[in-house]
Amino acid sequence: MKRILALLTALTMALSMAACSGGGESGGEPASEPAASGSGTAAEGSSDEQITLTCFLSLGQWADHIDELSAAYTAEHPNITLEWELPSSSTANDLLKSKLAADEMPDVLGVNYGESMVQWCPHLMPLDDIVEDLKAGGIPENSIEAGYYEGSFYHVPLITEGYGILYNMDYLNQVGWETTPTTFDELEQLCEDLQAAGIQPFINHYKEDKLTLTYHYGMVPAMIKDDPYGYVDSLKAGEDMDIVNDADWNAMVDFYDLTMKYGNADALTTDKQTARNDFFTEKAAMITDEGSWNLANIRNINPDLEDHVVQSYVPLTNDADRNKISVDLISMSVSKTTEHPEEAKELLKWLATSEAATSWYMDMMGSLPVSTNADASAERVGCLSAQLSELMAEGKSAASLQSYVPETVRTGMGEIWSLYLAGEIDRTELLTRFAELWTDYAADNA
Amino acid sequence: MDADLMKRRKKRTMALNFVLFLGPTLLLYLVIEVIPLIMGVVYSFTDWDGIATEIGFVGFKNYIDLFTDDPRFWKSMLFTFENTAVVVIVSNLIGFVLAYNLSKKIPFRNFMRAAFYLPRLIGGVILGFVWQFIFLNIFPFLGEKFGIGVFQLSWLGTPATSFWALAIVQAWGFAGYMMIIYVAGLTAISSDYIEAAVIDGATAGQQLRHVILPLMMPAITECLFLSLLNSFKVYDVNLSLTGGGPYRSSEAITMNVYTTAFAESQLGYGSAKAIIMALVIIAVTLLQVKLTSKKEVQM
Repeated sequence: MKRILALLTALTMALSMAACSGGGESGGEPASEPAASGSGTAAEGSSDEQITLTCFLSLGQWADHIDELSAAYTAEHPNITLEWELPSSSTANDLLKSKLAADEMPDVLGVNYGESMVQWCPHLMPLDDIVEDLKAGGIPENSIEAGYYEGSFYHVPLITEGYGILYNMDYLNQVGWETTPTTFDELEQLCEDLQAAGIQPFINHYKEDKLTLTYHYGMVPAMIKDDPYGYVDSLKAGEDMDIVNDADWNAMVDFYDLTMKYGNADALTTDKQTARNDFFTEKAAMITDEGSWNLANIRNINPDLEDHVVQSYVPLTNDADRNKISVDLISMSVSKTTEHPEEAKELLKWLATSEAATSWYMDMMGSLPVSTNADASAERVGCLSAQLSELMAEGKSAASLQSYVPETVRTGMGEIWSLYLAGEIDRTELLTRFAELWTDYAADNA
Repeated sequence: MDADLMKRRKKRTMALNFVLFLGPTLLLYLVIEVIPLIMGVVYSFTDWDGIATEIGFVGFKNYIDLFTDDPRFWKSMLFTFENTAVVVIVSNLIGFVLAYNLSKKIPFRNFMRAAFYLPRLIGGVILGFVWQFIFLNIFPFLGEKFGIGVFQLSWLGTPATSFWALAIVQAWGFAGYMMIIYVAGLTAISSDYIEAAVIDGATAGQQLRHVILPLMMPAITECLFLSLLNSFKVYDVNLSLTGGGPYRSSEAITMNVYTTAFAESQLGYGSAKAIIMALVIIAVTLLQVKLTSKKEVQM
């Protein structure tokens, strides 16, 4: 009797463990006929099966309002629920790797262009069959072209983001400035004027060594070169680009020096939230490394600021024509392992081109949709995106090179800039070590 | 003949019991500990980036690179050793002093024990964020208000201060935990020994040195082991308090491994680092246990 009882217990244990371990794989039955719901017109009611699409995008600022976007999609596609994960861009890539390792890849996900694409391409699904739909939905040719990798289309662009410096025009007006500075000398003059009037010129968040010092500001001097991609290729090939004596890289150091001189003393321990709050509550006239994603926050914290905040480029050089604002396309792709490929593609088409989605970007987030069908008037997208749109129209923008920097170079960049800003190394050592990051990379990948 | 059969049956029952009682645990141990360890060792001989579908074997290249061409890793190792030394000494000292005083009959004894143990319950990440707020907001406020030099330092802004900031927070978190173990050790000492010492005319200091401490050695061994192990493996407080900054100067070894494996997409190389880290931790803790357990006395 005892033995039978013991055997039964063992059996129960074994079964319960099997049940636990099996849970991961059997989650959700595969879509019975995925083609049925995706082809042609919207998938509305074409299947009664409830489907959950997991979405992964490194845009933390969407988190507060994402439920409204999901609800809008579910309203048009009643059988589909969206589950979003919106991590900060500095941790997103690490997180995605752990998802891949755990075999929990999201159905649709944001993967960067450039270096990230080289790595992630084997795990993504080519989307060539929706290119025509995207073009019909108003996605411009050049944005489509950017989404190709090795002959196949992967990146569905949703919105455009720009970043450089945000200005509080009230303070600029107070010291007699009607426009934002266009050259480095003007920026320096502005700082002096502000300082003289008792207004703190800059607020900097240089604690963000990954975000600001690396992703956003790390390649600005390369971005304004005549052939930025060629320049990056030369760096990656380990060619001697004489960075120590390069005027643009030195200009970047000058820019940092200026912001430190006229900024908060604790810049190296100030994070982006603290700095933004200080700028939003009008404690300083300028904030470095911020951009069009801030409008929703401004409306939350200090709506009055909206009528006198202006976004512009880093006036890096004294040649006004060369200074440009950094622009990133925010795009999404489909995972190769998704169980619902057609639904995922349908979702991306909707996110990129639908009236509901583009309205949400404009009205809720103040972001600039890539689709030209959207009525991106200043009233809709808000001031920051309208200014970005204007700068782009004037040719004062350039595609950010952040995603073309190899990862091993990236981790080194934030470190050496922090060392420089803390006064631990001088300009020559900074630029020498920066050049070494690239030659080391080239040597390792020869 | 009959006895032989009985013996065999008994043996079979034992085997069945063995599987029944140890089986589930062994299975979990195998799946959660052993297999990942073997995978880690295998990865450490590859150049896998964690994403690619193909993996290339590179032999001992990762280990050779690690020992010949990676000053950053050894800097992190040194930082971890220094940090561990401070944390182990400070947390055990504080833990012991608290336990010693709280084992006397004083009012609110249990409440105070619970209070000192509290940080342990909060967890490293929250602890790190709470202290980050204290270092970045409350300290400067106090410094400005009362002009006290210590509070005017940029606590997370320089390598030296962030080293101490990290050590202080960890030691504070561990001290309560150590205290609980020391309290258990103290209460286990029979009062006969103390009374005998008192009758022999021993002062409080002599009692502590010649009676209590030798009898506490098992607890001391355990506390040193736990604090060593935990501070060698620290990641959570490191991540949330300093994030390795400024400029990667407060990067403990675990964070270095993570950065290599994930941020730089060198999972193979990161695995090699992790294996070396594990070997170092095993060596140090074994040495410590061997040294301190020699001093344990049996009554």
